[in-house]
Amino acid sequence: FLSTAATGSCSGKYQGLLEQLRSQADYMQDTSRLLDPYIHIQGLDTSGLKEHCKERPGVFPSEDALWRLSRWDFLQILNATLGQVLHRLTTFQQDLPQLKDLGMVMLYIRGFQSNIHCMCQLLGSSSEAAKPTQASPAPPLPTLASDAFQRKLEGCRFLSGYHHFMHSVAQVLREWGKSPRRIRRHSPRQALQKGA
Amino acid sequence: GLLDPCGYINPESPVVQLGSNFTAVCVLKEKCMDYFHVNANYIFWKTNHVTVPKEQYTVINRTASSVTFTNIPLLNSQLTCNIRTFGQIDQNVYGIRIISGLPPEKPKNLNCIVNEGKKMMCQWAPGRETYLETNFTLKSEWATEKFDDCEAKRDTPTSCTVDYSPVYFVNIEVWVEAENALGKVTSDHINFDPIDKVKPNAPHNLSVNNSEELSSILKLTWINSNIKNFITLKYNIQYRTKDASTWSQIPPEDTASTRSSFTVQDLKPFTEYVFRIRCMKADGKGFWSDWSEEASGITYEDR
Repeated sequence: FLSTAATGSCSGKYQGLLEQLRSQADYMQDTSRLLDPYIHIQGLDTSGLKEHCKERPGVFPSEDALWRLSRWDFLQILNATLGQVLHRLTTFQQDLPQLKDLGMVMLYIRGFQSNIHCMCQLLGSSSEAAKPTQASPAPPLPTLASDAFQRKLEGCRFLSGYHHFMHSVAQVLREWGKSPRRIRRHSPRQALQKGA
Repeated sequence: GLLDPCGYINPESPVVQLGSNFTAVCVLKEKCMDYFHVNANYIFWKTNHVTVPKEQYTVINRTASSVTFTNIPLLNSQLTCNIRTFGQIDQNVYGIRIISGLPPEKPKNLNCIVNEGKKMMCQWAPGRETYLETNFTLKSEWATEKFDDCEAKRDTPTSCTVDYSPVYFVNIEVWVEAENALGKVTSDHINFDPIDKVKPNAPHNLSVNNSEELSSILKLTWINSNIKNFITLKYNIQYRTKDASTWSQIPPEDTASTRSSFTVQDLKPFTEYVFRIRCMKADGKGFWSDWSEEASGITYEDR
């Protein structure tokens, strides 16, 4: 019921859009939306197995990496990564029809991308859009394991990484300032560390 | 063949605007003209079997004659083209149906509501009666994506419930298109975050407990609906003694953020009170929930 074509207008209010992005990131980092039901459906919620559900490093950009990006690059990486998440979740949809909130989660991701589009428009029109830092492209997703149990674990690690990534995104967004025009080049967090 | 019409009328099935002028042309076939030994002069028109005065006719040429109506009234009638043949027999050549009405007006007062747990429903004022079949289509889109059109049903032309679940924290642009045979118009667009159009489910499981220590208080507890995970809520809490008919209300500033209990003070000892509660988004955007089920309790006796 959704056709992708940049068509509509953006509201153009920075603070409102930032609040929406923050609320979305908070909503999407909540593991009860996706990871927890996945673990339950896949029967991975026995003690020994759950520990194997750790995120695989390098699949998602780390929080430190996100802090080092300009806002523009941060949004580009975020959008690209979410695009890959959507792609991966499509395979989940086929494999796990019983994961009933999956459709809604995917819709929220697309809504997040819509807000990213609007924030880019806003930043694009402010001075922030100066030369971006050297952003590494979103890391490629791992190839799917062959046997069923490994695939279950891979899925679990992927979703764990996704929620953790959204947690990192929420942390960064929380530090974004009040106006689209950014005063400091490097990330606020580094500035804080220097100041500490 | 036997049933071949002897001519035709143009336009075929007109929809005409009320108050405007309308002309139809009847064109005879050569074959029939030869067979009946007639031409356009023999044509006469009827509307719903009543002959139209000859003053409204114009013979265009040997095969064609027109009829003109001015200031068209509200119509849904039959217009026939006929010829009077030898032996004074009326022969019907062709017939059409004329419908008249008005183009749609711009829909106004477009507004949407998201009943918690349900899909968004939008309503609008359709404008004047058009006397024609008029379709209303609700359109909605994000900045980067377009949702399926929502076609208002024939029996509820002034509202539509979309077929996708609300996605909070993303502004959506919504507007209505109205279209009939005489034209198409678009309402103003509205742009909003569905989270600001929520009507929460009412608080439920409201319960009332008294306090042995203090005979002037009653403690209320309730369960908030899931919307609390998305928005901060504020409440109206109302109470009355069992026999009273008017409600008193806790000052709204005391219930201005999400909570699931409240202690009502300054009550009369050993008296039964009835309570009810409702909630909405704390910043006032959206709609009040319905009132909860009423719950009652009795304050403790004075020592």
